[in-house]
Amino acid sequence: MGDESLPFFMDQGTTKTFQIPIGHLDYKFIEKCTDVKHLEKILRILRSGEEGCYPELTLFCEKRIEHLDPRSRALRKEKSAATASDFTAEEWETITGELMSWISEHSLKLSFPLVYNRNTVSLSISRGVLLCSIIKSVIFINLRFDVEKECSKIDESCEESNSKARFFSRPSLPIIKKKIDTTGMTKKEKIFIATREKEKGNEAFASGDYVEAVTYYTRSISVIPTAAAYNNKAQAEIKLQDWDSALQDCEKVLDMEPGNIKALLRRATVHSQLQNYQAAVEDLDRVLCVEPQNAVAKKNLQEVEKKLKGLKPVSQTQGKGKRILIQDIEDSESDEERGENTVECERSSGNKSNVMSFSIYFQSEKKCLPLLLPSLFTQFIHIFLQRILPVLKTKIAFTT
Amino acid sequence: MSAGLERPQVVAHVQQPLSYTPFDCKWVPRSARLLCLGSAPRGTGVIQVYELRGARVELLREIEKAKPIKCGTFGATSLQQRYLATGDFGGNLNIWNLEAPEIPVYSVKGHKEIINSIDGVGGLGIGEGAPELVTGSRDGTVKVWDLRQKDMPVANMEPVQGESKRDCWTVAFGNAYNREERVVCAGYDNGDIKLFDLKTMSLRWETNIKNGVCSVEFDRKDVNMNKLVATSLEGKFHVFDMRTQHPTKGFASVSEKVQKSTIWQVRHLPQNRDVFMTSGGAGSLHLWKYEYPAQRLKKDSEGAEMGVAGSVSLLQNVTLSTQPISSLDWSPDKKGLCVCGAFDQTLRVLIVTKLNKV
Repeated sequence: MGDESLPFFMDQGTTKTFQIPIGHLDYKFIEKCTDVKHLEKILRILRSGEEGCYPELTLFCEKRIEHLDPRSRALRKEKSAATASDFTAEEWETITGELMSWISEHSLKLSFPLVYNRNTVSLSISRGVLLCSIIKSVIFINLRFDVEKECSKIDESCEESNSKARFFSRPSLPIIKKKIDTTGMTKKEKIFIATREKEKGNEAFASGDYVEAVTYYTRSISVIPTAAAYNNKAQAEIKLQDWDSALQDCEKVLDMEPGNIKALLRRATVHSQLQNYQAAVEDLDRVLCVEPQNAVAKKNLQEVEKKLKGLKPVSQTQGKGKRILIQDIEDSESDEERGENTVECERSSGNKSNVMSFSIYFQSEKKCLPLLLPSLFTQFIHIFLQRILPVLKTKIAFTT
Repeated sequence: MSAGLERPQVVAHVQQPLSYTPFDCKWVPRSARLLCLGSAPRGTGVIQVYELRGARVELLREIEKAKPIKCGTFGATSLQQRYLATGDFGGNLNIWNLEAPEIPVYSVKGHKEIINSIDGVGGLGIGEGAPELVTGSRDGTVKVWDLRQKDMPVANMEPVQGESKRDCWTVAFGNAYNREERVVCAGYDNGDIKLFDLKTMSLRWETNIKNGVCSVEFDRKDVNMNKLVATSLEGKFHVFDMRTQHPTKGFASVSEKVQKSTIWQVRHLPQNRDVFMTSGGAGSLHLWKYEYPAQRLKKDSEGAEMGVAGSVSLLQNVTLSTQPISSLDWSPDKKGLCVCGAFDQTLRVLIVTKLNKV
């Protein structure tokens, strides 16, 4: 380890690039330093080799920076592409296997079939009308087409029944068609479109736009009704607190796939929201039959059973208390559901902690008291309300 | 390091040497085929059609054309036809039936100079409304083409007389979520980004990112404008949240410095709009994920709505070459399959793993 005793020929007190004292290129200094920017400079000097080559000190410095700031740009290194040796044999098998089966699936059709797409002509005219109708407002843009001809098209199209919408100013919410015209599409095309619309729904869900998510799931269903699309739609509707639609969609999933765990969990949530606690318990029991270790189901079952027991004493405050349950479900399911990303978790994590502390509090009190005194119980409910209310407010702010 | 394997990995599946300079590469939709477009040493244009077969690509067809081809798109064709639209060094917009490529299906001398960039919408089931193409050229104009209208663009966006012409490097369609709405975004060599609203035919927004804009792309063309990524000459890229436009401040954005060299291209993963890849001048690829902020919307002091930008995190980076990677395309059909062309005259088919988990 010649790292600490610097070469004798280097009599300068500082490094050439950043004028950092040579003494800072030292294990002890790096270990104690908390200034990421300073460490990044040291790392650059060490990497450049201008003060000599110290591979282990460089590595040590990298680790220190990683410890302080895992996302530091200085840690980004040039990497070559991964190869088979970077994966386990099984992983590699799956990667290549998936690709091969995809290739064989797609190379069967050896020619480009020539089928003419009919449903595009009428659309192009409407575009021309649009361009023309606002020609006066063009400042920067220079239009080049026959204005009179286009204007006569406006007159023609005004008589068309479906032309009205264009001449009204656009309302604040975008108009997206709920159905996709699939006439003339092959089955493969339909699958392609339905999958894409579902992905758009997932993305909208991830960005917190649940109304848009429901729209795109509906579009996907209009092409091919799949259990997955109904299931995701139900989840978005739960977020929007549209319990009736969510219930319908859960039931559609369960018609198609009777044992679908997510749909059962979601239906339980909806049932519990609609105060059908018994039905919620049944759904959760079904989940636990298949997956006895399902933590979400267990927790929810506890909550619902608690509600069932507490039904009479707290009848007037049920309206508020029941929302706790839904928060829990959303949080825990976001790990499974691909459409929900980490931001979503972060967003509700604040709520989660409140909810958790709340339920622990509740349980401990229950243990202390052999009998649930109604008066005490309602006192607790008041405390709960005070804690939960701000949470509810933020929740509403997101969904509206 | 152990956590590193949980992240997406980029595998160079096929490396195919080329005898010409590739400018653009594209997957043929609904197939395992890919195209490479470029310029042959003797100054002609090349279109090569390859098919992916196991661990190699096989050349199916090579088409030679008079002018070097700069860019191509399938964006305005139907899934059945899959006609390729190209822009070349002579300013010509051509549409080819790859089964009978001798004569173009449609051809127009669209620009006075090279067409740097082309994009299409309304085809492939992506984007409502009529199929249209947009071309951006060194002559400073951006033109929108409807293929049923011969010889003339349906819209031409050029600087008003007296203003200097800027080289338009990149164009992209967006906002095509219903039959009326559509926008075109164009990036110029001086760092200007302009957003043209094709419904109201107006300049909806403009900004300047200081350095030449090499590539712009919306995260999806066929949704209510959500995000736009613009990459620059000096190794930076900007992500704009396009949902909320403030009356004076425009769109909120976040920027990220990747490296010192140019970021040539950005392409969003077709199956997940929040994941995108940038290709760099030093032969590197960076895979990013955009994370939304807790709230995308806030009110300023006067009550006007303004967007809030999220953050970007680096998922993976690889260096494949010492030369710039000038083009990049994700397979629309197979998630994680990607093709890129570099100036070291190599076409690479890449597999990006674990994209389901990001």
